[in-house]
Amino acid sequence: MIDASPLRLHVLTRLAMWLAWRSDTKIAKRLAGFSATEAGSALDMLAAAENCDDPAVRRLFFRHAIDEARHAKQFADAARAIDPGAGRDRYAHVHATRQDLFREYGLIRFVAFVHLAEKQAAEKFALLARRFADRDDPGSERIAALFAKVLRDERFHVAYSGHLLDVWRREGRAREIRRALRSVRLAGAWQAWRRAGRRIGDLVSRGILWGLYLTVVPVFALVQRATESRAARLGGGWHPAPRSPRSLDDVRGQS
Amino acid sequence: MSVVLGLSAHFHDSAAALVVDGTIVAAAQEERFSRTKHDARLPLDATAFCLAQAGLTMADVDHVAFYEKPLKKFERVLVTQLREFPRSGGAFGRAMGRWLTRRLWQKSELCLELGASPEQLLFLDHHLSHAASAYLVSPFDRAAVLTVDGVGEWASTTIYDAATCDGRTRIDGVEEQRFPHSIGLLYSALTAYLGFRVNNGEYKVMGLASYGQPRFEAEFAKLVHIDEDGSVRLDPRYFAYRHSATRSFTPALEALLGPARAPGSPLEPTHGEGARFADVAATLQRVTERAMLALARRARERTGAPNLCLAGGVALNSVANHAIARSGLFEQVFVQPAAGDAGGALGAALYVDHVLCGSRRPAPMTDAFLGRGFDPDEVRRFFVDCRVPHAHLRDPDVFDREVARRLARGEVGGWFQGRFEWGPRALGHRSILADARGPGVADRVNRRIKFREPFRPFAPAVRASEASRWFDVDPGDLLSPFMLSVAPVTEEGRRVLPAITHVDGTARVQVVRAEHNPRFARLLDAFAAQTGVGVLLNTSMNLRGEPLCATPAEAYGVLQRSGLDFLAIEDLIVTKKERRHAA
Repeated sequence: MIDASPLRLHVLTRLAMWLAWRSDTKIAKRLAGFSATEAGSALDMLAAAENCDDPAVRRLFFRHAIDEARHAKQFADAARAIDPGAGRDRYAHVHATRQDLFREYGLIRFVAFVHLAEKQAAEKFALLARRFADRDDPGSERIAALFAKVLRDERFHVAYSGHLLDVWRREGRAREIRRALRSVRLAGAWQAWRRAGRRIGDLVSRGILWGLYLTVVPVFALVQRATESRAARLGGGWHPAPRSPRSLDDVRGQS
Repeated sequence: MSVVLGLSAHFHDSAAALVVDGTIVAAAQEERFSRTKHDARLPLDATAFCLAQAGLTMADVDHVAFYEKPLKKFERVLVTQLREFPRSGGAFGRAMGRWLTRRLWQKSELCLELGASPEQLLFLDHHLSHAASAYLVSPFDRAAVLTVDGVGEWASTTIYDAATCDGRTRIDGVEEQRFPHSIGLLYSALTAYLGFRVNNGEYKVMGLASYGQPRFEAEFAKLVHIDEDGSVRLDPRYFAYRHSATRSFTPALEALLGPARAPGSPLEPTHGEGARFADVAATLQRVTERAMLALARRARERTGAPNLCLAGGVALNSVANHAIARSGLFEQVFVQPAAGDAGGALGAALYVDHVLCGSRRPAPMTDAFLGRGFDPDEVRRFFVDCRVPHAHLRDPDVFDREVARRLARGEVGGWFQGRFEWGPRALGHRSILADARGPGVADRVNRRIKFREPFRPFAPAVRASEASRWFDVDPGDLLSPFMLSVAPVTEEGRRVLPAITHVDGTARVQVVRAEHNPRFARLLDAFAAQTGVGVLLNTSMNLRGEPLCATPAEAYGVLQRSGLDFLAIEDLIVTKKERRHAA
């Protein structure tokens, strides 16, 4: 949940919306991005359906997967319709990436994740449907209609995942579900922290390595140049191949 | 009992292979499990699959054989950075970051992630792993082995002399060419120049080449020199891979050949700039074939062996393979279906198991079905549970007739049977099939299903009994069962099979023999019985940018997300589940 007053949220959202959706190219790019997310989600839901033992839950996951696959296609088609020339190659295919969350999370935590993620997506699509409906041109109307259509499915996903959690709560697993919801929320924050940490670490290490490159490496580079023959540096022609290993001891080393 | 797990990882196409007492129990690329194409991460899922397939755990494994020597490779990276100072600043940061955080700690990573002990771990040379992957599963007792790829530790091309006598094998290195002189890196750099992704788009370049004329020979003579002894020398002024982590070529290459193609930009190979790119691709292909022939000649001279095994990424160039096979330099040529880096996992395992541990040599590889398979009942339960419309046809003859009938009336179907393929090609276990006779079929498969570049050809699968009717192919050829060579299409074939005839009148043929691929052969028989033509268009069951399908759900994902008409999966014919949606 974003911690901001409704008015501030409204202003910020409007600004973000304007920035993200300000031109046809941006709109096409965003829609293609949604398509990729939905396609990846479809693969994840299919994998969940495949690995789930409960036939009723499996069926729900499967239906969810089909919805997501359809959304991916609808978003991709909409992106192409907006940007048909340059868009043809860029959006003809949308690369889907699966995260394999069912296997990582297990059933309850996975459903908790689906519930929260779909809720967030439903809120986002509702907002986008409203914003595009407010614009006064036929293109925006079509996009608004698409978001509204997708939103109906997202609400179903929120409902079925919520229903499953309710059923399990009634079966006496309320604590487990509370814990799952909490851990999914925390996982989001943890992942964001890790991403930030990785970026910071990457920047710091690059800085250090550049420092080394400018201070230490030149010395070794000079030594290398002074000691290496021209023939070795150019390296063309045939060279004797190393002797192939004859025993296990010959292959224990990494060099 | 000897149990050896082979691994390749950390560059591209990581894979695991398990060999038990000379039998290849399982082999798979990590991408089939992670769904990330060319996945380079440590193949944990592929390893888990291989062990599960054998009913073993890591504790049962005697040796874990890694496909290259990390420290030797690090030496090359470091020395190259020093040689290129001060131009290598960007590449230095990136390369050292990667090596210092992960690759240098390979041993610890393998122990930690796999649960292996340090005593289990063995490290083989990159090119030796390639060589073993080809020779040890070939039908030869004596062969020259030529491994050609981008670069391993230092070597980019190696000639081996391999022989088996009294059940013992030796694979001796004869000579090698070293980085930066590499046919593989030349091909990769030009792949990048043509706007395709390196280690992914090379086969697109091969497809594009057929549209062009090799009119850049004079310019290529400046880029690469092929000596009489078969060695190649690249002019470093045109290539940036030694000092850049992001670029493979320098502005000098663009000055020589014209501006590079922007990745993702439209490409029409018969007009304007597209035609120029096709001509560059054609010249590159011509030069590659010439270099490969020169190497093959050298291998023959240095070893005197009657047969040739090819391995390494360049051995997936089916046009060059065809040129070598037809050159008459060798009696027979063999290429293992996963000739690229994934195959290194298999080679490392086989070398340790057979050459170093003395297990029997594996039987010659006649099929590539080493991946995961599914119990038909399990598959059926999935589709029943999910209420997906399907027909359950228990009788295989009825099933094949029905699939053939659908294909003959113009439908495009997914064919999912048994264990998935080892290597990049779909060979009739995870295939998308269509009637090769139909005009416009290739275009339809491209636009509705594969979403790939229109200039790329589709391959045919043909039953062995009528291969020579449609293609100029040698019936005893060892490459055609794995779709690793091209063949000219006969006059009748060009007339009848437009969907699989490439613009240059060739096709990358898969010859299907009942003894090696019975299920697929039966389908071709059924199709021939209905149409008089035992040929089908066969392309991999995946969408563009995704790896080949591994599971029934993934296959259904392809059906659902594309214009595929049906899915023939084990003994089910599955069609799309359309959910009615309120307007």
